[in-house]
Amino acid sequence: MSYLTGPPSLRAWLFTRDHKRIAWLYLITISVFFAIGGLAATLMRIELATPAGDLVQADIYNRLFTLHGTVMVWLFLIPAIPNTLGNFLLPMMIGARDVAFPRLNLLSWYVFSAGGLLVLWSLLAGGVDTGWTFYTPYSSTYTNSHVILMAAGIFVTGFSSIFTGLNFMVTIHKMRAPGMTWFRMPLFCWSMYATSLIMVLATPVLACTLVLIAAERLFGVGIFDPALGGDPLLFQHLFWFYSHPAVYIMILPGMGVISEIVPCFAGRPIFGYSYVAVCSMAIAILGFLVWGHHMFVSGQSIYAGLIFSFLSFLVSVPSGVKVFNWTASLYKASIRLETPMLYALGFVGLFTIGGLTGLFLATLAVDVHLHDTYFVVAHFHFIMVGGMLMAYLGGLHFWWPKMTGRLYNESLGKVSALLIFLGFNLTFMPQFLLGYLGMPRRYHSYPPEFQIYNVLSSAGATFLAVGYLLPLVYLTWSLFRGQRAEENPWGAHSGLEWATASPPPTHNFREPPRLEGQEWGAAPLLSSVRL
Amino acid sequence: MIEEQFEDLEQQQQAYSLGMWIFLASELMLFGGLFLAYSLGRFTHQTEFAQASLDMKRMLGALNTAVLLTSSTVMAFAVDRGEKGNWKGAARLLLITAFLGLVFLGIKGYEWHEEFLHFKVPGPHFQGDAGEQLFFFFYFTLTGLHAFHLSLGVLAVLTCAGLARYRPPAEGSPIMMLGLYWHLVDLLWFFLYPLLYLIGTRP
Amino acid sequence: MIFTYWMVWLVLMLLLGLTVWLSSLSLGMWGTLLALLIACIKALLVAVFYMHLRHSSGLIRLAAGAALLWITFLFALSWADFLSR
Repeated sequence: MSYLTGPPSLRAWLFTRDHKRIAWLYLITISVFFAIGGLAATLMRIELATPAGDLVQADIYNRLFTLHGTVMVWLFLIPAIPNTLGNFLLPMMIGARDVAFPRLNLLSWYVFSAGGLLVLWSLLAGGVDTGWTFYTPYSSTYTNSHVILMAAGIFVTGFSSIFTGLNFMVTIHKMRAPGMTWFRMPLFCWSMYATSLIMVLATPVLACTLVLIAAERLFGVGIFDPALGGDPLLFQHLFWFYSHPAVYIMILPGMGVISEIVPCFAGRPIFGYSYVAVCSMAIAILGFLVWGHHMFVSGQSIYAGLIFSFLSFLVSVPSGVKVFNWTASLYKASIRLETPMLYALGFVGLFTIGGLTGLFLATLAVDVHLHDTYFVVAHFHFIMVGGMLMAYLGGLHFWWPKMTGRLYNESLGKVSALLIFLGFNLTFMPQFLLGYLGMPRRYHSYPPEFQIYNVLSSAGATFLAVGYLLPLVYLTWSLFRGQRAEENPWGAHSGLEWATASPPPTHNFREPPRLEGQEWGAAPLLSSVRL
Repeated sequence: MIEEQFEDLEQQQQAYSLGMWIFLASELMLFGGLFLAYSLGRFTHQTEFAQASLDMKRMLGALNTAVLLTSSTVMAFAVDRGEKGNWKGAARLLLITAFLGLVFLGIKGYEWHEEFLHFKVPGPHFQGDAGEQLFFFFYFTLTGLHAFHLSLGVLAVLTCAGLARYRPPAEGSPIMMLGLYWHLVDLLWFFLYPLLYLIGTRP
Repeated sequence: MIFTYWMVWLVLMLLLGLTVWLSSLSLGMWGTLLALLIACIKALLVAVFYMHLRHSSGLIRLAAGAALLWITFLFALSWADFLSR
C-alpha cells in the first residue's frame, strides 16, 4: 500500500498531512497557473511577430505582460520546485517520516490556492497594467486597474511561502536521520534550506510593501508619490529587497535538482560537494545585498549604485563555482544521456549564459544602455526558463518513477527535452540582440528593423509551447499505462529516496534509517544506509 | 502526545521552539519594512513629524508601555508555572496577562477614538499638512499592525488559559512558545513608543 | 528565577521612566538616539531573560541574531542610497 493508493477519497487528499500528497496538490495547482501565464506569453509573442501593435491595444498588452509576470513569478516559479519536488523529497532525503509541521504544510497549500484565486479574480476583473514590479507612483496613484486586489492575492500567497520556508528549515535542522550531519546531507536539501532562509526573511518585506501601496491608493498619503511628498525609490528599495532574493528562491532549488541529477547520470559523486553546499548558503545570504542593481538608472545615488554593482559581481562567484563543480563532475564520467540528464546539461549551459549576461547588467555603465531593454528580458528568461524551468522538468522526469511508480516514455522525453532546448534558444537568443540594438521591453509595437528577431523569437516560442505540452501528455499517459518502476530505476548511488519503494509507503520509513560509514562532505551513499 | 513525525518529545519541543523563533524573525522583517518607510518619512518631514507627535498623549502611551511590559513579566511567570506543571497557576497568570493585554488595547482604542474625533485619521477628512498626515498614517499603520498582533495574542492566551485549566498539556512548551510571541509584541512596542510619541520636545 | 523576573521588570520600568524624562529635555537628534538605545536595552532584557535566550541553544541565538542582521541589511543599504543622493 503506497501513499498513492492509501485512503483514496477526495477528502483524504484534501485533508492529507502527507507531504507526498501535498506535493501533488501543489503540482496540479502550479501547472494550472503555468498554463495561464503561458497563455499570456503566447498572446504577447503573437502580437510581437509584427512591428505594429495590431493584435491588442497598448493598454491590453500592458495587462498581458503584467499577468504573465505576476502569475509566472508568484504562482509558478516561486512555489514550483520547493513545493512539489521539495515537499515530496525533503523528508525522504533526510530519512524522516514527514516534515516538522505537516498541518502547516497543508495550510500552506490552501493559503497558496486562496492567494492564487485572488490573483485570478483580479485578472478576470480586468487585470493590472503596472507590470509585475508595481512601480510607484503609477501603481499607487495613477492607474485605475485592480492593483489592490492583485496585491492582496500576492500578499496571501506570500504567507504560503513563509510557512513552507519555516517548515523546511525546522525539518532540516531537527529531523535528519541519525548519522546524517549537515555535510552528509543531499545537496538538494542544502538548496532547500538556503531557499527557505530567503522565503522566511524576504517575503515579509514584500507583504508590508504591498500594504503600503494599498494604503497610498486608499488614503492618498505621500509614501511613494513625489507629488505628495513621498519617494518612489522607497518603494523600489522595499520591493527589490524581496524581489531580488526572490529570484534566488526560484533558482536555488533548480540548482539543487541539477546537483542530484548530474552525479546520478555521470556515475560518480559530485565534484566538490562541500563547495556546492556552502555556495548555496553564500548565494542566499549575498543575494540579500544586491537589490539596488535593479535601480541603477532610477535616481538612486551613484555611490549606492557602486556598492550594489560590486556586491552583484560578488554574488555571481558562488554561482560560478557551482557551474564549475557540475562541469568537473562530468570529467572522466560515464555519462548517460537520459531525459533528466539532457535537461540538466541544458540547464548548465543556459544558466551560464544567463548568469554571464547578468554580469553585463551588473556593470553600471553597461546597464545604463541595457536597462529596460530586451537584453534584460533575455537575461532573466535564460535563468528562469532556460535554468529553473528546465531544472523543474528535469527533476520531474528524474523523480517521476519514484513519485508515481511508473516509467514515462523515454524517447518522447528526449524529444521534448531537445525541442525545449532548441525552442528556448530560438525564442530568447534573438532577444539579447534586440536589447543590445535598443528595443525596449514592455512595448507591443516596435520599429520594423527589429522584426526579424521578433519573428525568430515568436517562432521559437511555438516550439517551446509544443515542447511543454508533450510532457503533459506522455507523463499523464504514463500514470495509466506506464511500465512499473522499481525502487531505483536510474541506478543512483546516493539518495535515501532510492531506498524506498516506488511509489513510497505513506510513512516513508518505519524506523529512521541510519547512516553508517558515510564519508563527510559527500551526499549519502545508498551503501551506507541502514534501514 | 508526541506527533507521529517526531521520534521523541525532545525533538518535538526543539522543533516547535525553533519554528516559533523563525516565525518571530519573519515578524521582525514585516515590521522592519514599515520601520524603514517610517524612517525615511521622518527624515524627509522632520518638523511635521515632530509637530504631529506633540498631539500624541505621551503619558497615556507611557502607561500603556508599562501595562504591556508588566504583562510580559506576568507571562514569563506563567511560562515558569507551565514548566513546573502548575497548570492552575499558569492558567491564572495567563488570564492576568490577557487582561493586561486588553487594558492596553482599551487604552489604544481610546487614543484612536480621540484621534478620530480630532480629524487625525488619514484620508479626505484629515486636518493638517501632508507631512503630518504621513506621520499619522505611520502611527495608525504601525500601532494598528501591533494591535492586530496583540489581539491575536490575547485570543491565543485566553485559549491557552482555558486549556491549561481544563485540559492541560503534558508539558510546558506550548505556553513557552506563546510566551515568545507575547514578548515579541511587547518588545516591538518598546520601539514604537519613542518613535511615535516622543519625537518633538514638549516643555 | 522569580527574583530575576521582578528585577527585570523593575529595570524595564526605570528605563521607561528614563525615556519619558529624557523626552522632556531639548536633546534634538541625540534624544532620539538615546531613546532608541534605551529601547534596544529593554528589548535585549526581554529577549535574554523573558525569552530565555540566556539558556537557549546556539541555534536559537543564531536565529535571533540573524533576524537582527537582516534588518541591518535592509536599513544599511537603503540609507546608503537616501543619504548619498
